[in-house]
Amino acid sequence: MAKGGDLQAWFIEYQDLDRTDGRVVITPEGFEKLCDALEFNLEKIEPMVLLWKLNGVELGTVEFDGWESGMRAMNVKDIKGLKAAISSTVQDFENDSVLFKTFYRKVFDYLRPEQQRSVSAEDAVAVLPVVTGNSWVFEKFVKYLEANSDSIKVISRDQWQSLLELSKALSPDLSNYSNEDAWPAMFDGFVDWAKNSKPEAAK
Amino acid sequence: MWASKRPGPPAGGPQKKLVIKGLKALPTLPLSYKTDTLEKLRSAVHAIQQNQPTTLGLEELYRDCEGLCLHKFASDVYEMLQAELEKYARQQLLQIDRSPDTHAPAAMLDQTRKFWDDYTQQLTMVRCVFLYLDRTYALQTTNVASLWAMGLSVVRQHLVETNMRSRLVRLFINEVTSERNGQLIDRPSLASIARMCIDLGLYAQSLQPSFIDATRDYYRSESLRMINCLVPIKQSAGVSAEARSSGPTDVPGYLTHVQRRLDEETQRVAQYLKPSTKSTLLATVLAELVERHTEKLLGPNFDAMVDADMVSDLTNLYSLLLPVDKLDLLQQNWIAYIKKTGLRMMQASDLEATLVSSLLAFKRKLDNILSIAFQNNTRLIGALREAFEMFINTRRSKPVQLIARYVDQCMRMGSKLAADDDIDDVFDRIIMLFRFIQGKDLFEAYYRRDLAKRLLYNKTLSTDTERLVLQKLKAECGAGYTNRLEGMLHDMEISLELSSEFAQAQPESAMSDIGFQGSVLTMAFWPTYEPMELVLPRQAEEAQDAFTKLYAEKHKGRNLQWQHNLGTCLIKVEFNEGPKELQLSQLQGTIMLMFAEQDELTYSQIQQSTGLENSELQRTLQSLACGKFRVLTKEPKGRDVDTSDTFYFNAKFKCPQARVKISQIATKEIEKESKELEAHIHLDRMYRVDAALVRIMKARKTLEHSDLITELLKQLDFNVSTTEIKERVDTLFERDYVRRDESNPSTYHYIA
Repeated sequence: MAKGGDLQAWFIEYQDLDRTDGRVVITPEGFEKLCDALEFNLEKIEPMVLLWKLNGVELGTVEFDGWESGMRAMNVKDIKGLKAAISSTVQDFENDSVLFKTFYRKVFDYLRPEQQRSVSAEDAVAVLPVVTGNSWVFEKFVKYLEANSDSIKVISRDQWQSLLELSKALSPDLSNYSNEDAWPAMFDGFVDWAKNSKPEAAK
Repeated sequence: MWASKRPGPPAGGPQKKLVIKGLKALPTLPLSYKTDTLEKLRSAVHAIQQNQPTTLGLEELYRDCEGLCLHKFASDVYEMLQAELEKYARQQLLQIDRSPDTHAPAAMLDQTRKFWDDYTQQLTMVRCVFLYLDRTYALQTTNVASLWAMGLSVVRQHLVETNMRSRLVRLFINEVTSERNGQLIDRPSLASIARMCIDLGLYAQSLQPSFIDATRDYYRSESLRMINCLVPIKQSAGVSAEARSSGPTDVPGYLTHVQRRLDEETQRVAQYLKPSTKSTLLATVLAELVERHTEKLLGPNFDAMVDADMVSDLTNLYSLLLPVDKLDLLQQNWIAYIKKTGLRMMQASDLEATLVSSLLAFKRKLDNILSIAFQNNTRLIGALREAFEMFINTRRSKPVQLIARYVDQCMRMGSKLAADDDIDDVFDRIIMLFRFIQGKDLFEAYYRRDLAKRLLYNKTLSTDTERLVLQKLKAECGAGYTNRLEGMLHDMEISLELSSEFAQAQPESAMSDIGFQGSVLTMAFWPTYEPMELVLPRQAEEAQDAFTKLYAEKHKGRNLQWQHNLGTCLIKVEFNEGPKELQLSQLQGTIMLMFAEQDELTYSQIQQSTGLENSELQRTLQSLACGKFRVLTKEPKGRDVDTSDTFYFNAKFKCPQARVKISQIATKEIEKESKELEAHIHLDRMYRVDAALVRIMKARKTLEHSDLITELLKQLDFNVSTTEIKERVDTLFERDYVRRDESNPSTYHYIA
């Protein structure tokens, strides 16, 4: 029942109308407004999933084409439906690791400034906990980045992606990691650091 | 009766014809012929056996025997003979056997020997007499042995049936044991007994096995006894102890003892045993004395022997371990020793000063042992190489640095090479050491830096020596390795020609005050130098410009960039004491010349005139005013130069020499240089790793991580850690050269 016209009208509610370049977009201000309407907490995962499902082009930015195809794919025509669809996707992540992987990889592109190939460590520290809430590997990794903020400035795409694999493979006592494996070089330092700061983790 | 020829009638009578008539009656044998003749023969045999002359002549006895045989009584004769021989032998041997052991045991052997000698003689005689029997009956009848064989078997039978055989063997061995214990024995006697056994067919079945068993037991207990009280080797090199088999001894002494025993046993075989016994005998001795105890002979004792250069003892050791096939063990010890000693050298605290010369001495010592004691055994040579490669590379780039420095010191004037050293040999040895180190690219960088200094400051011993060493390096590493170095030498040659050309081309006036020599360095060959701003004294600048002009005319399109920090100059300065020649760097010289007109200059004045930046200026002024030779003085006094200081010409400067060299470089500079060099090489290597990684991935398209590492390490001639490799792989991801496989993240795919 979602007609093009309805979607368009809905889009306009959040569209950035003060533009001079003629682009038809929802910008971060409008996106925040949408999240409010959906009662999504900006510090949780839902806004990011929303952006992804709406084929966002960068953080907080959604173009109409993406909006339209995204809504149609979710078969959604109103706020209530949209909220339900996003929540159900978040639930799906629990069981569908492939789905989560696709989402997780896309988040990297959202964080990446357009001209650059990597994500700043600062951004990674801010976003990773949101996106990967209950995984201990990610938690520890974020602490590692914080502890080495003057030496580690960026995260590369390969490191980002491999981190997900690491979170699935690494054993809690860190015993199954070897420097001779194919993990990115940075992880060698990470695991070493983690081994030495283990007493902390016993809290 | 045969008709006999009657004497004919006296000459003159008619001739009578001879007529032969047949026998009327056949002759018959007398009835007692056989018994009588046998009896005759029997007595003859007795006589022979008692060493008495026979009553009848031997010829007649022979005929008697023949006759009996012809009359078909041969078997009787044979039986008689056999019985007589048996009886006699038994009687004699029983007699001998009766004398108890306790009575000089050797006596029994002696008696046996005597018996045997007599018996064989008699048997020979008997055989002669009964030759016809031997040649016809014995030969032609199967199951009938020849007389000689029969005579022997008679004796053998007796010995075997009674206990005499084992008694003889036992006594024989007792004698051997006594001799081994150092006593003198009757060797010819034993030789006879041995021969007797051989002839009787008892040697291989009885005597030899027992002998070998006894040998084994003897040496087993001797070796246990000696090994259990082995003492450590005292470090008195070159003295190998004379070992008695009773007192305690050390390993070299033991080895000497073993050699002595082997010699003894060889002698023994030659003197009174069958030659075929020798190999088993020696093998047994070696097995007991050496093979059993090889571990005790090696280990710390081996280390001590090598340490003390006990070459002759090591030669012993090698020649003893070779036949018992224990060279594997020797090799293990050899490697372990070299690694241990080498590692200790590498960890020594005074590493810098002594490492290279210690290593050269060490290698020389080991080579010596290899060639003399170990007969250039290829596996041991390979083992040495393996061990050296292992320990020499445990200090990352230190060995490279130190060997380069050592070579530099050898190549300079006043080098540590003695006048009579064979230069070729010295450098051959250094190259052997060089062969082991990893990171030969770093060595080339160091060598280039040092060569540059030698050439530019004219410190080299001789160009011929330089070329010699380059040749050796080229032979070792290929032509590409020495390209730049050879280019540098070539540059200097060309520059020499150029300079003389320049000197001739200049008009008299301008250049008469100063002599100018320029060296043109091809940038690609020489180390990189930082360019530096400097305002030259006028005359120097003019000369420099003239040179540049000349060069530009000769080589259009080439640019010269003057490196002021490389130049040197010689300045004559008048001090109160008299004139002195100062050998200075270009920077130092430029500053000194300013004091030709003025006695006092401030720091800022000097800086303004020369255009030098602070760190360079401070360093230079420090060398002139605060070092060993103070041709300038500084206010305020102190070691360090401040921007507010003032400098004065030190007319009171005193020095015994007429020419003074004031050096500029402080040791801190050298270290800084080395660090820069190594950083540069490291960067270079990372690029090479990248290139290799791309090359490998491009060729193989898809590769497992561990395979990639293996392949990479094969292609590189320097060490690189897994972490460093992974870092380089990370950059490949960044640059989109590779990607990971979706299902197996440790597999890489090349992105075309």
